[in-house]
Amino acid sequence: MAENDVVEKLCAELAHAAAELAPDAPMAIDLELPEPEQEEQ
Amino acid sequence: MTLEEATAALADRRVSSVELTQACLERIEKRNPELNAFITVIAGEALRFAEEMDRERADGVARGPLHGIPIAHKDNVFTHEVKTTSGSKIFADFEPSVDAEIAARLEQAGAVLVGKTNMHELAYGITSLNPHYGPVRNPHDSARIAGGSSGGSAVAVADEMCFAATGTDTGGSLRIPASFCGVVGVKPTYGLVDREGIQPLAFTLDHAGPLARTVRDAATMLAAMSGREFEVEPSLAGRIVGLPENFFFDDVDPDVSHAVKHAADVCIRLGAHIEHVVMPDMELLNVVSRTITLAEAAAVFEPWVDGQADRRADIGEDVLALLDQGRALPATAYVNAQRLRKELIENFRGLLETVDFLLTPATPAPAPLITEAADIRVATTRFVRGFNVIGFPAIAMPCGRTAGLPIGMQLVGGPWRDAELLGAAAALEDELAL
Repeated sequence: MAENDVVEKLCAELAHAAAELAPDAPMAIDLELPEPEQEEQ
Repeated sequence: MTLEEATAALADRRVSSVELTQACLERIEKRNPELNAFITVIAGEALRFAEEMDRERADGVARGPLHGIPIAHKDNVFTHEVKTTSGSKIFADFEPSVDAEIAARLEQAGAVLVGKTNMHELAYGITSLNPHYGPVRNPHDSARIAGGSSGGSAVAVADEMCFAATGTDTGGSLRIPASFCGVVGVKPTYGLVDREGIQPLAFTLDHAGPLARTVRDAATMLAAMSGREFEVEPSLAGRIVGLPENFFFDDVDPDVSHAVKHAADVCIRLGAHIEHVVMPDMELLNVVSRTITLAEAAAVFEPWVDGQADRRADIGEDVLALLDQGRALPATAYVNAQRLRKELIENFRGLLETVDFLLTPATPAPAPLITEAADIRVATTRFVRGFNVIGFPAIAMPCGRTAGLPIGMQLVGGPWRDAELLGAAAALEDELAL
């Protein structure tokens, strides 16, 4: 598959999912998995 | 001999570190010409350090279970004044001035480094068919791939060229070669193992972890790499194991499916309850993974692809194609992928509150032939790469064989429950007794 085809397919799938699933999701790109002790604080 | 057995033999003075190191070096000399697991072997340095470890032991110093144990590092782990190529022609002569954090920790624990292992170029692929350093071959059938990107580490461990090795995993690069080579590969919780001094690929998905011949050996390595203690209680009694109803058994080799379902039966025998679960949107999770990987890897390697230090001609065709795809990806796609990631993490948090672990195949099929390994990346990564997106710990380990090849399963746990996950895996390993 040509590079642009791969990219276009990925973007289409993401755009659809973003519209369906995450319209109000925060614009954050960190991955925080606080340990339980930190969660309690 | 396992790492655990070697530790006991060293402690009882039945063997020395020098003898163990010599045995590994002899094995490398005999087998590496065919399997191509190592890019660099440091026999002299290894034997000198082994002698030092033996002297320390004779003087009553005990560094712990890795004291005097021969290991290897994947060649994207920086090692002081030892060539660190990342499987790339670009870094062919790179000798770091410092050790990676995990290399320093393992040396402090007394592990003897015998060499640096071959890998998929820049850790960006899953075959380890490296165009610059040659293909890594599967020890169970050298006409087959070892998997990747940590292919050389998995082969070195499986073929007894060392007792354990380090690897990295951005989309399955520890677990796929573990599955194909019949060893244990642990992708810990994101953040558990420090990645300082490891060549990045996609920095919000990259993990470092161990490859070993048993779960307990992997736990010993992980403890040293993370600087934490793990009490691995081999038990599944009273645990709830989630067996996916969707996605994970679609388009799977029947023998793989049978072996994983047999492992589920073994869980029941060990006192666990099997809960059939509907998985969150795995296809979407994989799309998010691919998008983030494309964007971040393109950013990491931009200087060598379209910068002043243009080295496009020195990058393999498959890796260059992925880097160019990443450069063509709109920024909005990356942002949306990260937004969706948040949603998906919450979905999986909810699932892992209803079950203790998930049990899945690690790869849909055993190791393919080298001649049939083109275009298998998306299919081969589909059960593993999603867990890099959510950051939860996942272990690949053997659960059977088909036509002489290992079959790998995957156990997934909740975040920061790595020790519990290792305990469940150890119980399964004991009962499967492969």
